[in-house]
Amino acid sequence: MKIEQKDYTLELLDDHSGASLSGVLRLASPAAYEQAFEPLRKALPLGPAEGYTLDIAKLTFMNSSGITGISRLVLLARQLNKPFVFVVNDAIPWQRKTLASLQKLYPKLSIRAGV
Amino acid sequence: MTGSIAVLAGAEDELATALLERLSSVRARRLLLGAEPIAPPALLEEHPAVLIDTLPAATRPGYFSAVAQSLAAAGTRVLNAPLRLGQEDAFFLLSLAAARGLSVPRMALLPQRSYRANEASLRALAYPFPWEAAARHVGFPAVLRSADAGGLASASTVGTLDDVLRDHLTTGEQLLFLQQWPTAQLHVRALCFHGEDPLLVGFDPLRSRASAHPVPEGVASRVREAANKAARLFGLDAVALDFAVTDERVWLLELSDPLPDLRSSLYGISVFSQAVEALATRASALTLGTTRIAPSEVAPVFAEALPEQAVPEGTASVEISDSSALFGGETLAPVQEEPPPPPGFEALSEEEVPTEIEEPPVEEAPKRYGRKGPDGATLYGDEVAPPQRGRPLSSMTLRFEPLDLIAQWARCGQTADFLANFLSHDLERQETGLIVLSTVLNELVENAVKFAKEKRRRVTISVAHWGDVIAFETSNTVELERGEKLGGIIERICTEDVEALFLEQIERTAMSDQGASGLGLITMKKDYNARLGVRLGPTTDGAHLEVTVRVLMDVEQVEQQ
Repeated sequence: MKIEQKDYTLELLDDHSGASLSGVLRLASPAAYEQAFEPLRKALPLGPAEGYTLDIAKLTFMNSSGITGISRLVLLARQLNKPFVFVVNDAIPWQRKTLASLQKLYPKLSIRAGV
Repeated sequence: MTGSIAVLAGAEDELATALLERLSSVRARRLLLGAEPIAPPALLEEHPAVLIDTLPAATRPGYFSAVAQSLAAAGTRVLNAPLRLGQEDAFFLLSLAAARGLSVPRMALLPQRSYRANEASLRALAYPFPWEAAARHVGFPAVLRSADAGGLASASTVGTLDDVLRDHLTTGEQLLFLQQWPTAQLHVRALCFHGEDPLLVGFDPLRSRASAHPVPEGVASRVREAANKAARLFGLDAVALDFAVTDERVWLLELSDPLPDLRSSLYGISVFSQAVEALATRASALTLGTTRIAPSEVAPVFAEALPEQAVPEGTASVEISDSSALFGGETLAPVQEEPPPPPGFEALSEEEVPTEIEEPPVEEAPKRYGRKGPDGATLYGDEVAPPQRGRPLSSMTLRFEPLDLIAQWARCGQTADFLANFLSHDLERQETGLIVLSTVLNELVENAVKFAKEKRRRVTISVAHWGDVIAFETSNTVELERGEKLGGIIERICTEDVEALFLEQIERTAMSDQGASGLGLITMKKDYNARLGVRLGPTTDGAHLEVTVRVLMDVEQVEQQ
């Protein structure tokens, strides 16, 4: 399933094993992210036990409301005890910095360099 | 009809409480506070003789309006209903006042910027609109004010037709009119409670602020005369009239419902108490039947304005000099003086626009919680004085209205991208720098827009590149509580383990949608070791509380070397 918005694209794998987020995500509030990430929240419990992979390597910008949105996904994965893998782009500094902090919330969160 | 008095109040209940105290010995048997459920009129055991409705027109729920209207229809005298004197009728009411001989500065109704209608239904709209004729008719300085919401406090002051066209660009579907702004020696608000001597207060209508200066007696008598004339004309039980007093005339600028704003904090205890007394006297008189309004009479619209005798003899009807029906108001000689600064420009007039970020007032001892600066402002966080050497390599200041960015949220990011692009030209690693700068700037712009108390008052964002340091600064109006909360967060960011603070805020915002989590500021410290400082203090004109956030980043961090 592919959800294309003006500034960003969310593409979900049909087997619920992962998704990719690309473009620019600067929504106005955490509530707006709840709506944008709803398909991810639905997919997360359905996928394989090995875990869920979210590829953000082509996501150039995300604001702090988005950090809240992402961390809610991480907390959901923690609740489901499902490993969560982020694919990041090391040319985009905020990605690894943010996710490295979130690893402290959930040790089964791992970060992999992509692109 | 029972002869009781009911008071309808919402969140602001100082007036309701004072009225009930004052009326306790009379006949105020019923209090309908907003917090209590109000039964539909058909289920009420008894109808009050008088309902004093203190809810503001702009935010009152429709249910209360319907209750008040049906009580009025059943014979209750609802103060000012069915005419709700919000500011939504400004153009109509002022046109009526002008037509009945009151001095009203000249007005020109303007076409809306956009319409929710198809083209065919707009055929009657003159196109192109005669902007120059409208501007000539009105003259400058003038105010661009809303005809259907907000009142003068949301008006902008304009000095040229270019100003008008520029401000009009962003007004969407709002209906506006242009009105000449007389250069007045004094602005006075008259609080009229039917037949009582009006209470006079020095009052700045553009800022909705009373002044402590007493109104000189010579001016007072002229204002009283104009106020009584207007109050008779409209036949309202309670009305606030704003006047501009010049040597020649007393100009009527605005009519509004005085009740929602009748607070001691706005007018002072003395005027507030006198107003309560006058209002209570009026309500009692209506209840006791000592007025000439029969209980069976449905509350009138302009009850005393419509009959011929309501207009004092000798009052000339106004001459409308322009043939266009779009224009109203009275002939007024063009005023040549410089226009007053528009609201929002006082702090940064053209002469004062900083070409570089000025040094902030920073006290010796750093990192004390909410320390006092030398100018009385409160400072939080790190020391954030920019390097003391020459001029920055490059700098820029942007001013904008938060409302425009709220209306189109993508503009926050666009503003950040623009400034980041501007700064990144001086960097070695431009691509990385661009992402880091835009990420930080976007948080600052979003915060300024979200925190700004007045969404039509301009906020500023400045950037300056000092070689090895880049400085950012935003300034916006703020409510005291939010400003102090922000200061507290900054103080924690600068003194505590920022990684732990990040996780604490993540856990907290996971549970609730609080806008002021400070997560954006935390990441500036956590990810880029930025220095953060906040200044909370009055604007230069002293009229508003302003928060200034300053962020200093090492270029090494920006380029991630």
